[in-house]
Parts: sequence; structure tokens; C-alpha cells
Amino acid sequence: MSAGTVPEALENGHNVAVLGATQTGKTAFARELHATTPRVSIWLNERGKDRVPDVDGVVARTFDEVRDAFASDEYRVEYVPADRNEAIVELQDWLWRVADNADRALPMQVIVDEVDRVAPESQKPYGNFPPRDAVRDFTSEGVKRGVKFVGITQDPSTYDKKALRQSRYRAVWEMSAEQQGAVSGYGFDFGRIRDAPQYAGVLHYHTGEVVGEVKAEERYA
Amino acid sequence: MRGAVQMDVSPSDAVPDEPETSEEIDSDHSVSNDPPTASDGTTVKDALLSTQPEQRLESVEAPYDPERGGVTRVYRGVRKMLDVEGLPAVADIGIGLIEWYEAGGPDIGSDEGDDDAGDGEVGGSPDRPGDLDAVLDEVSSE
Repeated sequence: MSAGTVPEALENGHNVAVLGATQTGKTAFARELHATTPRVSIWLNERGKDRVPDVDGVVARTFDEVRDAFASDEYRVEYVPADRNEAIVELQDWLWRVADNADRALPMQVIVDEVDRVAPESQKPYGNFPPRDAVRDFTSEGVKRGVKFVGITQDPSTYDKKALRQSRYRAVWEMSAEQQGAVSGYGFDFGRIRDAPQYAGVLHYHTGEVVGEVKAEERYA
Repeated sequence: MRGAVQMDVSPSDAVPDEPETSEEIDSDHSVSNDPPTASDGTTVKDALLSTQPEQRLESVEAPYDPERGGVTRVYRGVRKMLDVEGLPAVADIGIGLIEWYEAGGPDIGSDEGDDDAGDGEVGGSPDRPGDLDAVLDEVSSE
């Protein structure tokens, strides 16, 4: 399969890892993905001071409210649970049932900012770390269920390596030298990233091939 | 970003039916040999072995501090060894009762105005009896 164009890459069902330092434009890019996708999109947000602002859609503070949003045909949901680690496990399990119930004909998308806090790199074997395992399940099995996973992190060195590897596309913004070292094996074109316009990132295919530049519209900044 | 995604099903079409609750299944009121459970299905055993709520290890800072380390660090190490997020509730209760007893136990029969605090006699200092209430209040507020 070829990398395709940027729109093709962003519209298809494959997972996207969004990597880069803070204030570089990656969250704005994810906000636009969430706001414009034709999929049902759920943004799993944090409460309090770390909550990403201006996320489109109805706000669900409990899992029941997420279910209600689906029942009301809402296509944009900002899920703000008390504990994201517990919530992502429950959400993954339920979305698998939703996908099966829909015969996998309902395209969905899950976006998690600061995903390394939910799925940090750990030596715990699969089955012993539920939130990380849920992210792994999203990235490994979501595609065939029509669930696209978008994980955002400014610290790829602490993000679960398996989940990162299972992201077919990687949208990369500027990052520190030590973070560049941590992802040196992924073939990112940091020269091109450095030369990109302000707030633009470079979308890479998992082979390292550059797909193109990505940048959010001003209104999503 | 639209175009390639086919939407033949709406979200409301895809919401799965929720599984029946235990109240709906057990409608004949038959006597159960199972241990008593809370309305959410939690058994007494589950409650005693519960480790929630507990501060995640990742959020517990542990700088070298001989004055404040010691037991805290040992506790953290035990958690890592057992791969649990916290001490089971039954351990908290047991240790707490021992600590309470060591601190003087219940203040039975002592006057409020007794100034012989800290001399080791049963009942302890006048402000001790409030400690257990404070702990219970903290636990119930979590």
C-alpha cells in the first residue's frame, strides 16, 4: 500500500501518532481532525488545568453520557472523565461492541492528547496494565473495526513503543534534541520538519516516507 | 477532509443493548448461596481487597529524605513487588487499628479535662479519641 496524499492519509482508517514539542501546532491539527472528520469522533480529554480547550462537540463527563451522545446521533463528543486511565479501558471495550453491533459499518475516531500519560512505556506484560493495553488494542485492532486512533504526545520517549509503532502515520512537529534521539529509528525527516512553516508538521508514512506537510487552519489554533 | 468515508450506519443504530442487571435476572427472589454483594456487584471480599482509591506510583515523588522516607519508601517498594496500585483495604484497617492501639487506643472513661497526656496510661491524651473519627471522615469523603 502506498502512503497516498495527505488528505487520503488523514481520511483513511489508519492510526495517526501526533508528535512534537508543546506550542508547535500539533494540538490545533488534532482539533481540526476532530472537527472535520466524517467519522464519529471522541476526544478523550483531561479534566482541570490540562484540559485541551475548544474541542468540538457535546461534553460527556461520564460514560453514560457518552452512550447518550451516541444514542442522540452526536458525531462529536468531548469525553472528560474523572479518570482517563479507567475511562479508556471502558471506552475501548464499548466501542468494540458498538463496532460489532454496526457490523463494522460505523467509522469512528478516538483522539487522546498526552497519550503517554495513559499509555506510558512499561515493562508490565500485556494484560497487566489495562489503560496501556487499551491503547495497544486501539492501535492494533481498531482499524479492522473501523476505529481510527489518534494519539498525541510531546514526549514520544515515554509513549508505549508498541502503540507508536502500530500507528501507520506519524505527524511530526519540531521537538527537542533528546526527543529526536528517542525516535531516531523512525526515519523522520527532521530537516524538512525544521524548514516547514511555523505551526506546520510533516506527515510521515510508517516506512519513513514523507507524505506531506500538515498545518491546521487558523481557527483551530 | 471529507469524501472517502462511507456512513451507512448512524451512531444511534450502533449503540449495543446493555446487559441485564442482576436485579432483572434474579426476579424470582430465590435465596442465593453467594456472599452478600453491594448494588454494583462488589462482594465483601472484593471490598476488603480493594486498593482504590490510591495515588498512582507515577505521581508519588520519592526524593532521598531520611527524615520522611523509610516506611514510605518500603511501602512503595512493596507495591512495586506486588504490582498493585495500593495496599488492600483490609491491610489499611489492620495497620490502622494497630497504630491506634499503640497510640493509646480508645479513650474509655477518661475525663475531658485530664491533663495527664502522653504518660502511657490507657486512654492516652485528651485529643486522641478524635483521631479515629478524623480517619473515618477522611476515608468516607474519598
